[in-house]
Amino acid sequence: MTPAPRNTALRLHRELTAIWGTPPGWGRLQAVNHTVIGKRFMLTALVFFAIGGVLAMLIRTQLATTTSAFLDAAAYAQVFTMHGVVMMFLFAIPFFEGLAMYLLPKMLGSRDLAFPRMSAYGYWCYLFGGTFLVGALVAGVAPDGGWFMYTPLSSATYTPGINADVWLLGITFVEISALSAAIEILVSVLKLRAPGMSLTRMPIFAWYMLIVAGMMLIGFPPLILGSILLEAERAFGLPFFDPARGGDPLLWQHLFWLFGHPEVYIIFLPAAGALSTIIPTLARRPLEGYEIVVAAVIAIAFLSFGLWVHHMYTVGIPHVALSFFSAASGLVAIPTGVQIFAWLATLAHGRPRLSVPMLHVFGFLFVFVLGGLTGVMLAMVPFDWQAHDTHFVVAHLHYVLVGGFIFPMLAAAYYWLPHIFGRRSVQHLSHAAFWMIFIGFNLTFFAMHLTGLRGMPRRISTYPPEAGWETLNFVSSMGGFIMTTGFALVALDLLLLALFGKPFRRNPWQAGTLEWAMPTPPPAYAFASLPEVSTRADRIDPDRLAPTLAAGKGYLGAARHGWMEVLGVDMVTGRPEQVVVLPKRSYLPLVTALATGSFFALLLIKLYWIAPLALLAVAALFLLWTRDCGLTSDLAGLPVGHGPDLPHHYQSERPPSYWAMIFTLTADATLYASLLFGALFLWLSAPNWPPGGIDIPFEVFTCAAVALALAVVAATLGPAPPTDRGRVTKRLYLAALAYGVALIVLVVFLVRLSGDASRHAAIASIFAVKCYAVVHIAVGLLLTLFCTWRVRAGYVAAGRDLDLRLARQWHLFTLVAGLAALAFPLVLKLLTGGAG
Amino acid sequence: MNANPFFGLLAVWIGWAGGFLLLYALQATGCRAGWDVPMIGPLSMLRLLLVATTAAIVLGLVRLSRKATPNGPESPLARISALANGAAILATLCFAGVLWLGLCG
Repeated sequence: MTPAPRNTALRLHRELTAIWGTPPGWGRLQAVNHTVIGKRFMLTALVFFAIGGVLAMLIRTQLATTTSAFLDAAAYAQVFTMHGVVMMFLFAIPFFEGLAMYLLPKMLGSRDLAFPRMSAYGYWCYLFGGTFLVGALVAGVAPDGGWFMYTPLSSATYTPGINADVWLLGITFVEISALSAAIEILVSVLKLRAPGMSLTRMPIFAWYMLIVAGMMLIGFPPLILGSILLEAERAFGLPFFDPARGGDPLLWQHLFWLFGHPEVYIIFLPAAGALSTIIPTLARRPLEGYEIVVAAVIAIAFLSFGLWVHHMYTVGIPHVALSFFSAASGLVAIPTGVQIFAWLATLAHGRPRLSVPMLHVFGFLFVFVLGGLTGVMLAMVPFDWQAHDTHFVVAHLHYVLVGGFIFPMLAAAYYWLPHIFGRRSVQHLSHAAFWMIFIGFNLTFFAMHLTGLRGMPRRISTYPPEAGWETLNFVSSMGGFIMTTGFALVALDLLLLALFGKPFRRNPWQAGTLEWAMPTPPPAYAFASLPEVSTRADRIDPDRLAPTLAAGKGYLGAARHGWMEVLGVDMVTGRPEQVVVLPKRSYLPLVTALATGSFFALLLIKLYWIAPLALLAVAALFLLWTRDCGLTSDLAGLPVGHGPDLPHHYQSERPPSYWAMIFTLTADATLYASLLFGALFLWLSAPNWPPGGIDIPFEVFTCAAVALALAVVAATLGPAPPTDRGRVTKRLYLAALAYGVALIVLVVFLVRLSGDASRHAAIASIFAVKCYAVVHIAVGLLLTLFCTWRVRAGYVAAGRDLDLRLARQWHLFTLVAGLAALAFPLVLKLLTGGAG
Repeated sequence: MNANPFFGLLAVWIGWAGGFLLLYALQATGCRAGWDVPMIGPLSMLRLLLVATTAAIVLGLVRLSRKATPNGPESPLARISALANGAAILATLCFAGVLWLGLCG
């Protein structure tokens, strides 16, 4: 291999760093770079992990003896609730979001994610939302109804303070980051890959993250919907969960667990993706059964959505329905087993190195398999009836989550920290730390199986001496302290690695994945030029490839116009099809997140009439994001270094934003479907239906006026190309007028309905569905006005109509959702026999 | 299905998920409407409906699977599709309870 021309590489490095880098000082707040944001996500998640760990120690201190007066019941309730909330929402998901953000562009041979500002916005929402929740704990008003916030305990009657509101608003705020990350990851994996990297040449970690991002897209909307409905009940008395007024507490359980069970796999699968990357490298052999592992992960993703009722076996669901969920719960063990056997086969056929990451892989295998076995036990209805809500379940879920997440996370940390810091571990503490965590964990949680089988319930703060649980609880607590000491050693070990670790040249594990084909720590632009991939992307030779890329001999190997350029490819074949120019660093994500946070804060302090102003500010700030996006004149094809010239993404048919809008609408449709099915669930299952003495409101005038207005929008904003600017502007004005009419008519209807919405869940459901339509019509109006401005400012022409095409997707969705909202009261009226 | 093989990869599982929801909704609606009471031969109307729907779902998924991998497993993506689709069809075992378990209690 000829050495790379050093001066060319150095010049390119300087030029690209000027474009992609993050300035020091206050300029750090502008950061949008995936390396920076990914590291921030991971570091923040680890801080929350430490907080969650301290809370766990408080729990174990309290339960160590029968007569402990360490915490009173109220404080204990906040502590165990926040332990679950912090670990599930603020640590586990964000940590792997951060790892995915950091790694994916590098593994896929790209320079960044598709929407860097959205990554930054998601991070700030996560940080502020998490701080909001932890701040409430410090103030003594943290959520105290368990991490799954069951109604009616969390309703205003039984939790009158702001504790439950903190959960509902804080989690919804944090979940903005999860949804934005899901869309970001989906689009980035599908569209921003190295040329030639077809789907089946992707590194296995990218497959895992692609599937997990899809799960997040479908899994989070039911939770967000549930939170909105419960907050609406607590704030405005809309009785979705109050059985006296046609609501049903079980609706919350369905919505929560529709998210909550896939959540377990959303946590486990990224960890499994990391293992599927680490194990082959350390075993010095490609992953056995790559294709069957991909199929297994797809199966897990779908089956995980068919398990949610296995958390609800004891609520009185008919046997046949239980059998669907029980069978799916048992079946999911098969694709999980496929992965485990693939890893074992890879180890068996390879020559494994017994390094520190491998130690944690073995820890994972032992702990996770035990957790999986108790999972199969709990999936069986008769066993679950006996063990439900006991410490056996606590033991099971910790074996699954610590086995399936913490040990892989530690393996991943020891494996990729050399990439982040450019230094290798000196391993003085690593082994001792592992054994303390492994032994401490098993002492803590194995004993809990036994206390659970002896009948100890979850969430109790004290227990009587005669219960016979004290010795086992004491063992658990001692194990917990050993484990915590182990984690403290890991933290110290990693700090020492970062400060005093041994520098290395490149690729310390002799891996075959692209993230090692760059200098470490990685530069902001990741690759000076992009590689062409002609084999599976876990079988490349980074040592050979890296100098060529550094010398600018790959794709896009030069700086142009100060643009942040990456390649957009065909999502299946990996054929290059566009040059994607990313937006630059900006304070806007931070400011927009602050405005978003102010909206949630205003709701928390019940300033409901000011909160819409914060929303308007958020909308205005998002529009500001578009100032430097788009083109005001047509561009010729852009040279990319190899092959034919490619169009700017703004002039291509399917740029990343096109797919982002489709995925956004998919999440949106999931939320809407959950709302409609939730209302129908109440009709089916809730007591006090049909609503006696209350007429279901169905106004022909409202329906006809709104339907007509939406039809006008559809007719004026159809798929005709924008050949004549004046004509397009006129159409947009007409559509805006139609949207305005629809908005006014619906808002008047809602105002008149608002008095009755608290009387019965049927009216509340109609109110909620119409509110959904109003929000979509308002956004449609905003997009129409935005497009009008873009047309007048010259951003839209015959070959540059992306703004119109994106808005058109929204209009079409609004049309369908709006018509469904109009028909909904009629359907409910027919189902309830007219009611009233 | 041929237009974008990526969606062919997921189609049968999406069908499975739709079938799952359909059966759960049908069972709940049937119980509320009292369809478990009228008998058609030895079976209640609700059980007959559930069994027929299950059979339709399985047949539908088999057909969808054939469409999703029309030319056989000649490429890696087609092989993954075949594996995923086969798993989805096997997962219809989840619905076997409609044959004998209590429908509304």
